Amino acid sequence: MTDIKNVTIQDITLTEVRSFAVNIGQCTAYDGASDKDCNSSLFHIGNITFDNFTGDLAGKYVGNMQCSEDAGGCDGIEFGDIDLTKTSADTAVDDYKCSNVVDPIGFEC
Amino acid sequence: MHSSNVLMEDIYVNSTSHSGNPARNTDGLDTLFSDNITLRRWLVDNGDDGISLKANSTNVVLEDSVLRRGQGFALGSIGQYKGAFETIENVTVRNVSMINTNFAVNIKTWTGDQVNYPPNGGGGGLGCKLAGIW
Repeated sequence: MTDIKNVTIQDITLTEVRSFAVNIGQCTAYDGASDKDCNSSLFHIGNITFDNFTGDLAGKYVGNMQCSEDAGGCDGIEFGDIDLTKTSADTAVDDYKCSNVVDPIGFEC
Repeated sequence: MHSSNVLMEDIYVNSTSHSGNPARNTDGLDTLFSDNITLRRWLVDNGDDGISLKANSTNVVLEDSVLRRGQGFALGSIGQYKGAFETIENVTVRNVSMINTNFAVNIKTWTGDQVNYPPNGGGGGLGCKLAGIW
């Protein structure tokens, strides 16, 4: 059962994006919290498609995705046509950093 | 909040800082408990989430829009209210330009542990799984 689901994000142009194209995190907590447990959320994120992203960004990864282990991780995450370069460097950005991303579609963690 | 069947087109939101201080909490638009929302031709220039879909936002389309300088398009943060059932479903974002935003897309949930209370604290929200719905 999925609590954030059926999301399609397509035909996105990035111009000098400052960090990653896609960031997923299950870590939001009270500012004063120490030792927050980023694997404790029971919110399940799934069925999210990212397709036709072009442009440039400063971040090292297309996707930086940290999903909660207690929620069973994220699944149904798909990246389609991604054509991104590093700002002012012209090198391709095509890496993905993942934690608890189950069965990635169209990309490799 | 608590809206349905809404169309908003050709909207310009500017919430930027002219001092050295960051433009915090300047979300261009947040949707909550809202269904069937279409946003077309928005331009948001701000410091926080350009457009953020929060709890119980369903059937939302954002298209032909530009987000500048803020945090980009966000799903969440969600799951802030302990034991509360929340969802975000059926969202299409297409043909959007992210110009000098922090991310293009940021999806964020609270942790499972409640620490302090909203508005600044919280956590422990649930989705449908434990609420036994569907």
